This record gives sequence, structure tokens and C-alpha cells, in this order.
Amino acid sequence: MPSILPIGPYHPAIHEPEYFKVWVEGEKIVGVDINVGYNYRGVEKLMTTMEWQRCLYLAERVCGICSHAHSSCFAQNVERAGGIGVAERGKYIRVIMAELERLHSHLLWFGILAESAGFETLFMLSWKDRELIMDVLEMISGNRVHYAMNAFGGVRRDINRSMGERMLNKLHKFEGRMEKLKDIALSDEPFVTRLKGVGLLNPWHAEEYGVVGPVARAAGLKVDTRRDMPYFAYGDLDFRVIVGKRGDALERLKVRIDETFESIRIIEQCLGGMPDGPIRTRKMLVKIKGGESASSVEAPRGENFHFLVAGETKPKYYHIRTPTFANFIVLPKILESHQIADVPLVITSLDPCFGCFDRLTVVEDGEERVVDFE
Amino acid sequence: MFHLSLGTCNGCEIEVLTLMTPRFDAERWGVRFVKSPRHADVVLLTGCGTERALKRSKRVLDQIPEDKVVVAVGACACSGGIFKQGHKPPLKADIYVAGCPPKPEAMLEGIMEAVRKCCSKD
Repeated sequence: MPSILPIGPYHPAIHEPEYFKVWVEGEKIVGVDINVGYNYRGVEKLMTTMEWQRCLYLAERVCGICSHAHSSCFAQNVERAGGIGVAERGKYIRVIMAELERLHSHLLWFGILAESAGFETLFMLSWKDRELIMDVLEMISGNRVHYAMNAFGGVRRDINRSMGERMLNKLHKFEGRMEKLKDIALSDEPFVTRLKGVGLLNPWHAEEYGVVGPVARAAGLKVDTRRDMPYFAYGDLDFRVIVGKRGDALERLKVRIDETFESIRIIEQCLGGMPDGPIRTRKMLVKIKGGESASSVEAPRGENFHFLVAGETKPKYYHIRTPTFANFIVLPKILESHQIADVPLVITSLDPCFGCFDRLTVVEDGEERVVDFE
Repeated sequence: MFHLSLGTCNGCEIEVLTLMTPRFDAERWGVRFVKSPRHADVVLLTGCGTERALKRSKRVLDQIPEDKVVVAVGACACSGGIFKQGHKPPLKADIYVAGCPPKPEAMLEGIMEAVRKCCSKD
């Protein structure tokens, strides 16, 4: 008879409130139930009460780590529904911000993974180097977390030549540091042994569960929204999609490290090939004709999908499907037959962001309610 | 110091975690994050206070020794922020750090104020 081991909602290994019910037989895990809803803030419902301009701010606050991905996905949706053109230069700046965000997000995850594997030094080192990217983000937008860069029809702030040069300097410095971090991580025998074979995910299971982003790519699936459905300026850019072979925590680490180098290449290309001209096509957006649209964007954690039914001045219905939600469904499958000690490591290796995925609402007989898993 | 998240967008959480890393390093003032609420003198609150999180967090807050200093970090914890509609008013705090999210420097100032308050209580 398996006994229940509760992990959360407040647990030292997890930084946000979330509840995992783990059934164990001795040290072995036999089943997992994910119990979400502690971070539910009702973003989708709130959306329908706000005007377009305010919605943009709200979309950014779905998640603090992939804030640009959410707000650009929302902006893209409104632009598609309202038939608003996007400035060419604005598209490139959006790509630059998205890639900077990917850099800082991957570094952040790298640190947290090292911490949950017990390698505290690597955590400190990677977060120290992450500050280089945060400096660049702060230089461009003035903010560290919510950049508020997107506007309807383009972006808010331009990147001028001297900024671009300073940015490249920092990025090259960062690249050197990243090489060193990669060397430290992959040459450390205990760290590599700790990650190898943990949280194994087969490609067929990844496909079955609809896993996205680096987790899917580490399992050997070649999926990347930037390549599959090019948006913004990604169609003109040349980049590699990094794909791993074994789908374990070590492979996810390798894929993410290599992706950071690829992101730096993309930013270099953008800075070199950015067309001159205006950064946005309009000042304010008050009214659009209305309609439906869907858009997806490759957030640092995978495909981020937004669906909009637009009214004239505000959304009538809005739906968000975050990459973390898609990836987390596979957790019970991965955790089966692991040891209890592996739980924090496996959870971290999926790069969870509970802020992102806690927005589940079900409409039943025209009545809206939050689903309770208890 | 104990960090309690009441349902956020993760922005404040990440910035709170940054406080421990080499650039900001709150440990200079003898401030350390503890894993158990029973060991804490200062609580950092983030988040707008969702219904389920508030229910559970009450038990966590009760475990903290009585003369604790509560620091509310971020617009959500201070006033409800952008998620104000439909949520209960956030918990009362001794020190408020505004911003969405606040700069780590601002958080450090709040924490130093909390350290001062703790010292004056002894």
C-alpha cells in the first residue's frame, strides 16, 4: 500500500506555491498528482475587462521570466485581428529582446538546476554572469524584468548604434563566460553523474504528451516555433535548431547551453541587418474592428500560444496556453520509478514556472469557475 | 529571512533570489534566507494573495515567531497591483517596497530597514 508524501504548497525546494502529491513505496515513487491553482490570478478574465493598452501591460505580467514572449504574442494577436501593420525595424528589435530574454532565462534555469543538484558554486557563478544580460536589458528598456517594449505596430524604444556596440561588447564577454560555465558544468564528474539518466523522456512519449521547447528538443524532437512558423524577423535570420538525443536532465542542460550561443548569433545578425526607419506604425490603439486571431511565439520554455476573440475596445475572450503547462503534464510519467531525492531535480529540469501555468478556468453551462483538483 | 509567495507572476521571486547572488549579496548584512518559517525573523511577502495561497500561507505565517517584521515586496503585495480586481486585500506589512517588480537595490533598502527594526526590538 503506497503512502502519500506531500510536497508543497510551501516547500524549500520549490520557490513558488504549488502542491505535488507523491505516492511512494519506500523510497520509490509510484504515482504523482499535480495540484495547481495557488498562483491563479485570473489573467484571462481580467483581460476581458480592460482596454487594449492596459491589456498589453497585463499580458506582460502573466509571467515575470518570459514577459516579452507573452506581451509580443498578445501584440501580434491584436495586430492580426485589427489588421495593423508592424514596422520592419520594430520586428528586429522584438527579436533582439526575445533572444536576450532567452539568454537570461536559460542562465537562470542553469543556476537553479545546479542549486537543486547541490552545486551551489555554479548557481552563484551563473547568476553572476546573468547580470551582464540584465545590464543589457536595463540599458535598452530601463527595466530588469518587465521590459514594456512592445507597442501595437512596433516597439517603444529604439536601439541606436552606440547602444548596439555596447551590447555586442557585453555579449562577447558573456559568450566567453558561458564557455567557461559550460566547461565547469560538463567537466564536473559528480554533477554530470547526478544529472545523467534522471528524468528520462522518450521521444514517443514527448510526442504523445505534446511536450514543447527545450524539453522536447532534448528528447530528440525537432520542434521550434521560430523555424516552423516564422514570425517577426525570424524568417530572414539564419539559425540552428539544437536537438539532443537522450531526453534526460543532462541533455536538457546541454541543449539549453548550446541555445544560448545560438541566441547570441541571432542577436548579432539582427544588429547587423536591422533596417532603418520608424520603430512603430501608430501611437495609440483605442478601437479595432474586431475578429479572431491566434498566434504563437517561441518563449524560452517553448511554444507560447495565445488565442483572441476581439471586441472593439477590449477582448471578448482570451486564452493562453503556456509552454510550462504543456511540459508539466508529462511530469507524472517522468517521475515514475524515480527516487524521492530526484523529485526537486526532475521538477527543475522541466523548467517550471508556476506563475505561467496557473490560469486554468473552465466554463460549464455558461458559468465560469476555477477548477479545483482536490 | 523567509520568503513567502502568495501567487505572483514570478518576477518578484526571481528578483528576490537575485538578492543572494554575488552582485547584490544581502548576506553582507548578515541576512540569510532560511528554509523553515520557524527560524525566521523577517518575512518577505510577494504576490497579490490568491484565495488558495492565502488559505495555506496562514498556517506558514503562524509558525513564524511573534515579533516578526513583515516586508511587502512589489506592487502586488503592497496594494494588489494589476491583479487587484477579484482578490482579497493583501496582508498588512511593516515595510512596503513598491515597484513592479522593485529594483534589487530598493529591496535591499527595505531589508536593511527591517534589520534596523529587528535590532531596535532587542
